[in-house]
Amino acid sequence: MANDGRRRLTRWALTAVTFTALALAGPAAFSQSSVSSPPPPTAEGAPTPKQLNPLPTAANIHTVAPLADGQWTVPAGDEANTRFSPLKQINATNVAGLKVVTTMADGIPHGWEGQPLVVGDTMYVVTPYPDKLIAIDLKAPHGPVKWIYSPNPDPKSQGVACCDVVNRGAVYADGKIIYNLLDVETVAVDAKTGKQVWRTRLGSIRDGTTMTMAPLAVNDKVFVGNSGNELGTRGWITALNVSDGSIAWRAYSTGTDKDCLIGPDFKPYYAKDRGKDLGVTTWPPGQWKIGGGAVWGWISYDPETKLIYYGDGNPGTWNPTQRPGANKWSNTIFARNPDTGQAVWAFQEDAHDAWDYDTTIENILIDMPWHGRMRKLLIHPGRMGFVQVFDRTNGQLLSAEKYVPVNWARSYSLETGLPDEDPAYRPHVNATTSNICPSSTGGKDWNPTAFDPQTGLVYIQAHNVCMTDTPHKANYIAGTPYLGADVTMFPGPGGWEGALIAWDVADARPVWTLEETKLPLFGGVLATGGNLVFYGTLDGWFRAVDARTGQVLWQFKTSSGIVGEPMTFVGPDGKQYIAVYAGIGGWLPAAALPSVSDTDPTAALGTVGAVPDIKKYTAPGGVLYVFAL
Amino acid sequence: MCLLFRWPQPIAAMHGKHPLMLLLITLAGLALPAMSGCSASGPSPPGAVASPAVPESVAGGPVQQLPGTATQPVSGTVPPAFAPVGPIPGPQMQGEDPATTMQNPYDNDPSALEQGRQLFVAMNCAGCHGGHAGGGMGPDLRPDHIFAYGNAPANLFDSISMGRGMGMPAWGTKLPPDVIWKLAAYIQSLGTQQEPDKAAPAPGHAPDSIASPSY
Repeated sequence: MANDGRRRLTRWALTAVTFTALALAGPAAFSQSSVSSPPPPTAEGAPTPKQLNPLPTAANIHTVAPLADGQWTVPAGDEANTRFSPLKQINATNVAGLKVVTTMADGIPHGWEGQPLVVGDTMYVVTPYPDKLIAIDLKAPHGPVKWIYSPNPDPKSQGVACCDVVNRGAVYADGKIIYNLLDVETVAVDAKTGKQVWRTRLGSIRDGTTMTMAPLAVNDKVFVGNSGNELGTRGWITALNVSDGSIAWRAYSTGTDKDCLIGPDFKPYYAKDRGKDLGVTTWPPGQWKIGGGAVWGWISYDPETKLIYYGDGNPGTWNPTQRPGANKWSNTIFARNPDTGQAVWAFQEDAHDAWDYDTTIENILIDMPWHGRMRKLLIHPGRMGFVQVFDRTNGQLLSAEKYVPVNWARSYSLETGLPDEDPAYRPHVNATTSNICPSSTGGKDWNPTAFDPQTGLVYIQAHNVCMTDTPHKANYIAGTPYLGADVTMFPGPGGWEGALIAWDVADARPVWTLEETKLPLFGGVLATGGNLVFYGTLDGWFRAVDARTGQVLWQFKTSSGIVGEPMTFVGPDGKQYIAVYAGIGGWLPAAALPSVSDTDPTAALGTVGAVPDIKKYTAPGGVLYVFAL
Repeated sequence: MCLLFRWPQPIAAMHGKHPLMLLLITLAGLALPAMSGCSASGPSPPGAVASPAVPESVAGGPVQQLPGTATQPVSGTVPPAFAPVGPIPGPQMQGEDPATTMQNPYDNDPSALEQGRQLFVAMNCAGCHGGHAGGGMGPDLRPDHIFAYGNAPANLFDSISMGRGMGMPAWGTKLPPDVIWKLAAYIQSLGTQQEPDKAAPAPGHAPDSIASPSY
C-alpha cells in the first residue's frame, strides 16, 4: 500500500472508530451534545486489531432466510449460511458483562466441531464419536440433561476418519433431530422423546467412507454427504425423505451425467464446465470410481431461487500425476434443485487439483448491491485462499481476491473462470515443491465464516500456513488411505499464523484483521444484531469483538481450544444466550491430541508444523459453555 | 535368495518398476477383512485387479515356522501369519511371558529395516499413522507414545497381523509373517539411530516474500 494512502486510511480509520464508538454509546450520546459516553474498553490482555481499509457503506443488503424468534434449528442458524442472528440484547455496550451460566463436559478427548441446536425449550448437542445426541432442558437452571440417545456406531469407523472423529452437528425438521454417524448412517431422533425414528445406512467404511457433515433440511427432504477423499471414496450428496429416511435421490460427484444428476437443466456459466459425461472423461479409465469429491461440508439453501448450493472436495489421490485430466467434478460448487437433485449450474474451482483445496467450504447467500445494481450473490471464502463472489442464479464469477498469502495462483479470470496458476507451486510426483501457500488446510478450512448484513463484512477465521509437498505413487487398498503425498506444513510469511479477517464483500478487500501469532484459527464465527462478532481461538480464548472495528470487548479463557461454532438463542426466560463448544481436535490442530507426535513433521497429514508447541497451549476434552449477561 | 531391494533411498524416488509393486498389485483390489468384522474376505472394490500369489522373491522365501510360536497352523486352513505369536490370556500361561522375550527375527538387519520402511509407505501404513509414524488417523507409533497393545516385538506382530478394534486392519490374511516382522522391525527402529529415511525437519516459517498479500 502507498504511504500517502496508508496515512489517509489511518486518519479515516481513526475517524471511523471515534464515530462508531459514539454511535455505540447509545442515543444519550447524541441528545447531550456536550457529553459523550466513553467507548467500551478493550478486554484486558486481548489483541488489538489492525485497521486496513474503511468500512463499506453496507446499504440495501437483503438476507434471504433471516433467523426468526431466537431459535437455532439449522446448523448455520439460517439456511443461507450467514450465521448472523438479529438478536441484540447482548450488544457492544454490555458484552463486557457476559458470564458463564453453565458448562457441560462431553467426556470425549477429540475435536468438538459443530454447534448446538435450540428448538423450543430444548438445546440439542451432538458429540464427536460415538456421536451421542444429548437433549438439555433450558427451562431448568444450569441446563440439566433430559435424555441421551446413544447410537453406538461401529468402533472401526474411528480408524477410517481422516481428520479426527468429529461431527459437525444436526438439523431439526418435522419434529426430528437428524444427523450423521461416523460409520456412514443418518439417524432421525424424536425431538421430544429421544427415541430413534429412523436410521438409514448410506455406505460402508470398508471403502474408506465415513460421515462427519451437518445435514440441511428443505421442505420434505434432508441432504447429507459423505467423507473420505483421502481414502479413495467416491463422493455423493444424498437426499433422504424426512418422514422415513428413505433415499429420494443421490447425485455422485464423479461418473456419468446420469450418476451426477446432470441433465437438461444444467447450464454451467463457463465453457470449462460444459461437456458430456465429464465426470468420466476427465479421468484415466475407471479412476473416477475412487476419485473423491466427497460432500463433507456445508449446504446452503435459498428459499427465493429455491436451489441448494454446496461444494465437494478434493480428487483422490494427492498425487495428481496418477490422475491426468480435469478430474471433474471434484472441487466443484453445485447449484441443484432440492426436489429432484438435478444440477442447475456448477463451477469447478481448480481442475486437476494438486493441493487438496477442498471446495466444501460454506457458500453464503445474500442479495446486495454489486457494482451499482442489486444482485443475488454467493460468497465462497475458499480453501484455496481466494474469496470468490458469484451470481448464484447462474454461476458467473464476479470477483476472486486473495485473503491470505497465496502463490499457487496469481488470480482468477472472470472471463474464463480459470485460475492463473504459477507452475512453480504445482507439485509433481517424486519431486519436492517448497513454500506452497496456502497449505492443504487452506486460507481457511471447513470452519465457517459469518456475514453481517449491518456491516457488509464477512468474518473469516483464516490460517496463514504454507507447505512443502512431495507426491509419490499411491496404492489403492480399499479401506486404507489413498494418499500419495508427504506434506509438511509451517507458518506462512509475515509473522502471523491466524487472523480473524473482516472482509468487505463489495470492495473485495479486508477492513481489519485480528492476528494470532502463536497458532492458526480453526473455529467458527457468529455475527449478531448487537454489533458483535464471536469467535474462539485454538488456545481456548472465546471472544466478542466489535463488528465494525474488531476491538475485543470481552474474552473468556475456556478449558480447551475452540474448533466449535458459536451460536445464540433466546431462552424460555426471554434472555439472550451465547453457546459454544470448547474441545481441541480436528485436522489442523491434530498435534494437540496425545495420539499425534511432535517428532514427525509429516504426521497428521502434515499439520504438526503448522501448530508449533500446541501441546503447551491446550489439550483435548470437550466442554459446552453457555454465556449470558 | 537374491537381495531385490536397493540400498536405502528416499521414498520420493520409489517408482512403479520397484519389485515391491508386485506385492502391491497382489493386494490392490482386495478389501480388508477387518472392516467387515467377521468374514475373512470382503467385496472387491470396483476396478479390482486379479490377485496372483505373493511372489516368493518379495516375501523373502517360503513361509517358515517362526521361532517361539506355540502352535503350528493346520496347513491349508488359517493363513500362516494369522495366528497370534504373543500370549493368549488364560490359565495355561506358565513361566515367562513370551511377548517380552520373543525376538524379531530381523533384529539388527539393516536391509530388513529398509524394506520395512518401504512397506510402511506402500501398504498405506503411513497414510494412517503419519508419514514417519508420528500418528494421524491412527496412533503415533514413535517412542514418545504409549502403545495401547504393547510395543514388544510380539505385540507389534499381533497388532499388525490380527488388527485392532478401532480400525486397524488385520493384515495377517494378506501379508506373510516375515513381511509383518519387517514392518515390526521398522517400528522398533523409530527414534533410534537405525531408523531409515528419517523425516527432514519442517522449516520454521515461509520466507517473507514468498506469497502475497501481506497484511
